[in-house]
Amino acid sequence: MQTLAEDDDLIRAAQDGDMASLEILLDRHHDRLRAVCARVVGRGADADDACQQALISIVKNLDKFDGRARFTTWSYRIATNAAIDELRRRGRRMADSIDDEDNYTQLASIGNFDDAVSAQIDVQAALEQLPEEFRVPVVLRDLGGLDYDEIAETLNIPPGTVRSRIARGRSKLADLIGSLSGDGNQRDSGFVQGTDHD
Amino acid sequence: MTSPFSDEQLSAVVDGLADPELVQRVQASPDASARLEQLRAVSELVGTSPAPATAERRASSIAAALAAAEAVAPEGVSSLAVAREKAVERKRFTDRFSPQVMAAAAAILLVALITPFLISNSGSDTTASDTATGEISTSLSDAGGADGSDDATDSADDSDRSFDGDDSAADSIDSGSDASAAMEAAPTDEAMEEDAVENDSTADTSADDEARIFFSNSPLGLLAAIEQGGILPNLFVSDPEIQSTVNPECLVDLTDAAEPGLALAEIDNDGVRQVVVITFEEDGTNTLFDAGDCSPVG
Repeated sequence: MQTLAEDDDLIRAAQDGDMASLEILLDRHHDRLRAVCARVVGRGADADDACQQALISIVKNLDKFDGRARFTTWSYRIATNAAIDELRRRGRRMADSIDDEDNYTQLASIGNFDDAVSAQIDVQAALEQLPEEFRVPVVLRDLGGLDYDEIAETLNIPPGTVRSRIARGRSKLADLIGSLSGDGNQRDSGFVQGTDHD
Repeated sequence: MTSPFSDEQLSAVVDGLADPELVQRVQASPDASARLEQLRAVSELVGTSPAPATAERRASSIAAALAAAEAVAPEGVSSLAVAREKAVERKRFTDRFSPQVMAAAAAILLVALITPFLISNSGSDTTASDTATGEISTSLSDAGGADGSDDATDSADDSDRSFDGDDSAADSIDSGSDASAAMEAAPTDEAMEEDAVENDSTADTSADDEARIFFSNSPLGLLAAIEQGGILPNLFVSDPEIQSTVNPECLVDLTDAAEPGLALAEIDNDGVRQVVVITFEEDGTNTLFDAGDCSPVG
């Protein structure tokens, strides 16, 4: 039975100029990188552009990848930067302050919180209400599966700040969804007292 | 509902990072448990993969990245294309100077040099013969014998993770090639040249096999990609899918006009997908033409 080549083998071969290995590597990781771009950037076309830029950055910088970090972490960092660049390039920056309630818009009207979850409410619309400083750590944690230290390394911020931003980001998302359901479950979820724990 | 715990504490529970005592206390509180479930649900929602890219867009993104890998690197910067060229060069060198070829060349050279000595001295001057043999052995060793060549190649292979390593390995190979230039006069030259031609042919075929379409979001984006070295002349013309969309007469006319060559690409021109011919001209300029009707684009 033929086994799939490990990432490390593909990376080494690609670094040595093996285009077939590079193509397999890009094909293997495209979907997860594109998913992160989509969650960070929002619109599908923008996510595709960001993902393409991320892939190009990966191949142009693959010679610098030394294996000290996981390829997953390293490539998420590149994808995250590409997504943020895309956001800024398109002039679609999110609200400057997470406390600015005027920036939160109505998303939909669904019976209650559980219904909202089970109905797969457009979490993307809710995510886009969050400033990127909160959105990106939540996406890297919940979609990318990175641990706090990896996210800290990816975003170049302290792990304590990562923990705080993830908590506040999830908290606000829960409130947004709760407000849609009208079940009165939203609460002051730490934004008032919230400060980054550096 | 008001949880006695902060969302930061509950978020830590979601991530499995809270201590067991906190988890027990949260579970004992209905309000905290309810809030915990909300945060957990949010986490799961965010973790749900969004709608994927279309197959076409996915393929074009990967193709664009591969095209960038093919680009010639800026001065002083390593790239996959450079590394690939080195790999081809290494293979060519090791194929050309394989131990078998080197052994055959050495044997022929040895016979060619020893024979005149044997004839002129008629076997009477053994000292001269011994000296000559010693010089030949030294010469072969200095000329980058098979073992030395392999060492250089192995060294390159071992430095996979660093292009700097590859650079030094390539330098070693170059040195080996120079040293082996002494072998050029050997009678096996012709055979070696044939080997080199075969290798060149293989490399060209390989490049053709990798030909693919390049996608850009706009004519300007495409020209920028060319500017950055992302598209090279004659890199994509063998893609059968693209060839099928090209008007042959258009290609012939543009081929006559363009030097050093053409490339093909697909662009999104104001929302319309369009296959274009890119001309590379002697003065370094590039022009885009519609591949179907040859009209200028952009």
